[in-house]
This record gives sequence, C-alpha cells and structure tokens, in this order.
Amino acid sequence: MKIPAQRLFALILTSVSTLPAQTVDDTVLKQVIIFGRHAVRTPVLPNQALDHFSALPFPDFSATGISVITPNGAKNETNLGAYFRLWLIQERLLSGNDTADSNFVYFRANNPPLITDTAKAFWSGMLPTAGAPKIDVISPGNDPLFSPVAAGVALLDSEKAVAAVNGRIGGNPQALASAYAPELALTRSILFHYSANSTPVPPTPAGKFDVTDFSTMPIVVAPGNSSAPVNLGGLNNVIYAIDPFVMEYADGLPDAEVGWGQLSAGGISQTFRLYNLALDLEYRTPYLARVQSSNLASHIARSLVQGATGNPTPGALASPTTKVIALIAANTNIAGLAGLFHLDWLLPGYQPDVSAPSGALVFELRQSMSSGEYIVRTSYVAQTMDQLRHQTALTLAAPPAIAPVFIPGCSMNNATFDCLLADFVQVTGQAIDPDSVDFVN
Amino acid sequence: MKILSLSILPLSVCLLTAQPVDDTLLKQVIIFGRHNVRAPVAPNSYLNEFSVQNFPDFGVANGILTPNGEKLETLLGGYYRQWLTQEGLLTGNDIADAKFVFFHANAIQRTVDTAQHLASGLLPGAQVNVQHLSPTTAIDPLFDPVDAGVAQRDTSTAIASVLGRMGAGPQVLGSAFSPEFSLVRAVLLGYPAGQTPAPPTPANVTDATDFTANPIIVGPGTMGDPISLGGLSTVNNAIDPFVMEYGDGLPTGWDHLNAEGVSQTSRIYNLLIDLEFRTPYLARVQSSNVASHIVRTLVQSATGNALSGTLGSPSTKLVTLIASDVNVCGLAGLFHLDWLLAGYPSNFCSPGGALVFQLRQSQSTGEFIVRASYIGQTLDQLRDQTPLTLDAPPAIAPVFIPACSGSNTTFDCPLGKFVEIASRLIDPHSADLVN
Repeated sequence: MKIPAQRLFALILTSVSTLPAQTVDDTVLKQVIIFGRHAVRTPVLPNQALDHFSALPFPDFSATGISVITPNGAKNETNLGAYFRLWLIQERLLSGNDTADSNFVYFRANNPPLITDTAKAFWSGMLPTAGAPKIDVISPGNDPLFSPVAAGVALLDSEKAVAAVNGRIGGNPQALASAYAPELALTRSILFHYSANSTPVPPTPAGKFDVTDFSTMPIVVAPGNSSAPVNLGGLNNVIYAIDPFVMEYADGLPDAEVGWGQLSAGGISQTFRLYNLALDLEYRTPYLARVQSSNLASHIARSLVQGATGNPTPGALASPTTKVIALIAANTNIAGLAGLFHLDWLLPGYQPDVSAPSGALVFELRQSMSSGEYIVRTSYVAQTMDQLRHQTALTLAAPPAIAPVFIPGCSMNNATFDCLLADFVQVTGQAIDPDSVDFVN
Repeated sequence: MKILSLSILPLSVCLLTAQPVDDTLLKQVIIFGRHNVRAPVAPNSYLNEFSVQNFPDFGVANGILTPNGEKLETLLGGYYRQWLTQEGLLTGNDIADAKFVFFHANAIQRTVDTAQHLASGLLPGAQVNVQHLSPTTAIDPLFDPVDAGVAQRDTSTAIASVLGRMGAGPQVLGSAFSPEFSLVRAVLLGYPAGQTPAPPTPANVTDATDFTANPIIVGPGTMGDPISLGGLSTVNNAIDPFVMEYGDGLPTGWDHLNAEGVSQTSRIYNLLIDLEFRTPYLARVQSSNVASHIVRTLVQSATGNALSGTLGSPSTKLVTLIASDVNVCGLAGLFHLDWLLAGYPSNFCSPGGALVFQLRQSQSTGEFIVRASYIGQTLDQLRDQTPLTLDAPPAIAPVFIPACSGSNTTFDCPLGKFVEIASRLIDPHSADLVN
C-alpha cells in the first residue's frame, strides 16, 4: 500500500494531464473591487488593560493611541497599493496617469481613523501623484455596508444569533476549551512567560488574570452588543490578549518584543487559530453572515453588474465607469462576506481563512474578447507575515501572496476558478437575505 | 473590563427566552451513524514502515470491527433503546417494535456488523434484519453514489473546488498544520513532542510527515476517494489507528498519546475529510442521494403516504443507516451542520457517532418539525466501555440547521422549511428515487 515514488510521480503527472487544457485567457479586466482589511495597528485595548493578562508588560508600538494605524502599517499598506498599481497598469485598467485614473476610482472606508488612514495609505500607493486621497466615509456613524445592523438596514435577532452559534458547538461553549487546549496552553505560556513544554505549568502570577482559565470566566454564547453579534464570554479575553502578537510581528518590533521573545511566526499562526475561531463563530456562522454581510454582497454583485452593463444600478457603488472600487473595513467584514459565499483560502504562514492585516478579497470583472461574456474572478491577496515584518517592496515579480478562490456553485475548473457573472448574480441572490439589504448607492 | 466581562453570564441567562413547553411527540427517528471501533484499514506491514515501533495488533483483520467495537455499539444501542422508549416511539416489546424499524448498512463488514450490534442493543429481544447489498458485487448508491453510477463527479471540478479553498497550494497545509504534523512525527518516531532539534528519521523508517519526499497534492481520486491528497493521505493512514487504539482500550501511540493528543492528531483526519467530503461541490455530488432519501423518508412518515426514494415504509418509526465517517461528514457538509463534542475536534465523526434526525409533531398545532443532533460516545466512554443510560448518556450535541432552525434550545426546524432548504442544496442529478 505504500505509494512508491514512481507511482507518486505518475499520480502527479496524471493530475496535471487530466486537468483540462486551459484555454487561452482572452479576457480583459473591466473593473476590480478590492475589499480589504485595515493595516497593522496598535492593540485594541490599552497596555494598562492588556498587562493584566501577562507576566511582562506588553510592548509599546511606535504609534500612540489604541487601535490606530502604525507608521509601518501605513508603509506596508502603501506598498500593497503600489503593487495593485503595477498590476492594474499591466492589466490596462489604470493608465499610469494618476490624476486621470483617479476619476475612475472609488474608495470607501468604514469610519474609525484606523480604517480611513488605511484607505489613504492604500491610495498613496495606488495613485501616488493624484493628490489628496478621496475617501468616501459615511458619516456620522455606521456605514450600512460594513455595519448594516447598527445602521438599521439589517435586523439581527439576538436569540437566533445565540442559537445559530450554540447550535454549531452542541450548545456547550465550554467544550471549546478542550478542543483548543493546545492553542490555549501555548497562549498561557506566552502570556506568563514560561516554556511551552513546562510541566507542571506554573501558577498564575500574583495580581494577574489568566485569560485561559475558563472556570473563572466561562466561554458562553450570549447576546451581543453594537460591536459584536454574540458575546463569547471568556473567549473574548483570549482574543484581546493574543490580538497584539500578529501586530507585533508585522510591525517589525524587535524579536524580544514579539510575544516577549517566545513567539515565532509559526507560534503566532498557532495562537491565531483562537482568533479565527471567534471570527468564524461570530461572522461566518450562516445566519450571522447572512444578516451581517448581505448588504455588502448585494452592493458588490450590483456594482459588477453595473460595470458590465454600463447602466446605473440601484444599490451599486460609484458609477458605471468606475474601474477600481476599494472598500476598506475590518477582518470581521471580510470573514462575514467569505462566510456568506463559503469562500476559503490559505496563504503561506497563515491559518486557513485568515484576514491578514491589509489583506483583501479581490473581485475582478473580466470580459472575454471572443465571446463578450463577463466573468468574475476572485482571489485573496495579502502580504505574508514576513513581507509585513520586513516591509518588503512589492512588484509584479515579487508580489504579495495570492490565493485564487473557488466560488462554490459558480466557479469553473480553470486555474483561476472563473465564474460567469450571471451565475455569480444567481449565487448571490440565493446567498443574501433581501431583507438585510438596501439599494442605496 | 474584568468586572464588565464577569457580568456576562447572569445577563445571558436572563436574556434567554422562556422556552415554550415542548408539546411535540416523536414520530420517527433517522440515525445516520458511523461504524464503531475497528482495526486500522491499512495492514500493519504497511503502517510499520512509518513508525519505529510496531503498531499494535487489534486481534482482527484490517478494517474489521473489533469485539470491543461490537460491545460499544451495543451499549450505544442500549442507550437509544432507553431514549426511544422514554419518547414512546418504542414500546419495550421488541418483537412488536421490530416491525417498525428499518436497518440499512453499507456493504462492508464493519458497517453491517455495527448495524447488527446497534440492533442488538436497541431491540435485544428481536431478530433484526440489517439490509445491505452484496459486499462482493454491489456498490451502495446511498453511500457511494458516484461509483454506483447515480451521481457524476467531474474530476477537474473536484480538483478545482478543493484547490480553490487553499489558493497558495496544498503544500501550504504543511505549515498551517505544523503543530499537528510535529506531534504525529514525534509519536511515530518515538521521541517527546516538542523536542528540539527534532531527531532525524531512522534509516529503516519512512517519515510520513516529510512532504518534500511525498508532497501534498490535489490529484484525481480513485474509487471511494474523490480526490487524492498525496502526502496528506499518507499521514492520514499513519494516524488512523490512534483513535481506534484509544477507543479499543489499547496503549495509544505507544503510550505517547492521551485523549487530548489523540484529539489533536485527529485534526489532520478532520482536515482530510473536510477537503474531500465537506467541500461544497463534493458534498453536493456525494451526499445528495442520502440527503434526498432522508428528507423524503421524513416526508413519507409525516404524510403517511408511500413515496419513492425513501427508506422503509410510511409506518417505519426507526430508520438506521450505518456507513462511514465520510458519509456522515459529507451530509453535514451539504447542510453546513457543525457540532462539537467534548474531547473531540469540531465536526469529528467519531466511531459509532451519528447524526440523528427526529421527526416530531406538535400536539397543539399538528405541525411537523425536524430536530437534529449529533450523538457519539466520548473518547473515554469508548475506552472505558461505559454503560450508557438516560442519566449517563453519550455526548449529545443539538445541531442548528442553517436557514431552518429556530432559536429554541433544540433548534427545531419546521419540516416544510427543511424540505425547502434540502431541495436547494441537493443536486437532483445526483439523487435517485429508488427505495
């Protein structure tokens, strides 16, 4: 039963040879929607709160204030914008004349300074000589694209939200503690600064709070509030405590300040499974994805249709001539949209489906030059952890990590998983909740 | 912040709605289960190539249900008996009850034997006929609809649909799951997990986790396997015995693995099943036929009218389908069902574990509802052969059916709505109407 090397080779060869001959790509890019997460930021809690969770104080970032973009984060975002500039010029969607191109670009960001600053930095990379960034920010308050529940466009039934999440974990949220025991043990060892292999594990240092001790603060699934669809109790504290690790690494803090010298990129990736878990439960759970991401999905699909038909369409973004739509929001938004369409991806160094800092779901509207047919081509694009840490300049020859994404119920079996626009509209129509959508442009 | 968070629990309790009294009666139950503890599928002569010590002898041939597995399944059947008697679906008169049960198993020894032992726990006083196709000649369209010719799987789309879930390439799984692969390597090669540097592979052993030598790929599958995952399939073969060793009461991973370690290595198994059976395109092709039969069977029971494409007759109270993890997990993937049992990874299809669909009727409104759960013995209940009772039940996870379940604690789903979502999810070209 052992597979000999020759057979394995044969297997690979068979696999290559049975892939359909890829037809020449005769499509032209007509429009692109880049739906990205904000750049590297400071933690979402002040260090004085985080320090309750750790033996040693959390490091300072080069920016002050909670949840604000760091200078390195802005630089990385600009690097990413510059990559998109090169790519879109190569694809002839942009001309390279930034001022002229800026007339066909629409940027929209959720309102906190972090996200608008990200959008500005992205603009600076994509359109460096076009002058001051023009970022559409819906004010005051909640942008119905990104926070449709708070904006009153979608109605979240709290009881159903709790049930939908509980019904994925057997109604037993505390069972997550054993299912994720290795990650929680690693997290504890980092926070309390001992070797991950220590046995017995040392006690909690005096005056500190053990976020992985769910006997004091159980994991629950309770009704949420304006910022979270459900409340996960003790799991939230774990998320707060591990959230800085990715940012420490990506911001280029010295090794000694990344998990206090105890975390490699691999270790960060492992702790991040806990973060992914919380996002999965709160945003990818089908009911929650449907309520929270339908409006965005509807606007994306309608914008693509508007781009293809050239006719102004209610509920679409920008105008029929817009070539680039950049939407900048949070990982919760990206997780939610991906959950709604059941999209998965995997980039080197990350866990499956991670929304990396600055990373984006990219929807290309392309038209076949031979048949005139429109297709949607989807990918997830993000800098690797090391590209972020080293602020690696990105070019077409040295691009960010790119994952072509298969859209279930729509994609074909070519290498870029193209999906006919008409099929995409149909899949979107089945996935979204019409009562959670507005037709505001 | 701490104080704020501590206030969550009482808040959650008081905000939960008062649950209306459950006035429903159980009319029919469909138990769709995996076989219980078996010997490894691969022979030890193959497995031993991956380990410094020989794998243990289960005392039965490859893939055969072990005597402990039989006993465990009977214990589980004993639990179902108590539960279904309490629910009034069974009377306790086994011979009379046996007229209203329908047992069907995939045509391999471990599934047929599992079904027979489930029956002997459920109806100890009756002879129950377990229906199955002839193992040597027939492929069961319920459990292997592609090879049976009922469903057609396009190889290129199968590969694309899996590759398109891990854009940067299947080899990246090696780093994404490196803690699990490191643990597996340590257990197979017999050194403490976490040892640095990890020792080299002994000369006479093949390192199952060496993806340079044996890359993870996404290639065309073979019979029973929708796609081939190259090196990931090899690792999976090598770890497959661990759950079974633990469940069978044997030293596990040469005593290097406790239940938590077994659970952690099982994540790799879960990954493979997720890719091959829960990927939406594959779940649709491979699980539409069993889904269609389950839904139509519930409708047949509710209406009392004989339908094509069903299991049993309109008067059948208990339908039992016994197959493999790939089948149970595939059906879950089709409906986007998730569960978590204490001690297992999410969505793990444990030995003997089952998706259970109850058809219930409200006594006040007459409305039919579907109530889904996943029921399985915990790793320790398996290992200890714990007797199961209503007071000491197996682990039970009520399951929310997306786009159907309501917000009560059992996530009830109206039958009409269940039929509606099923018809959206099922591929009509991948289902037959054969009873």
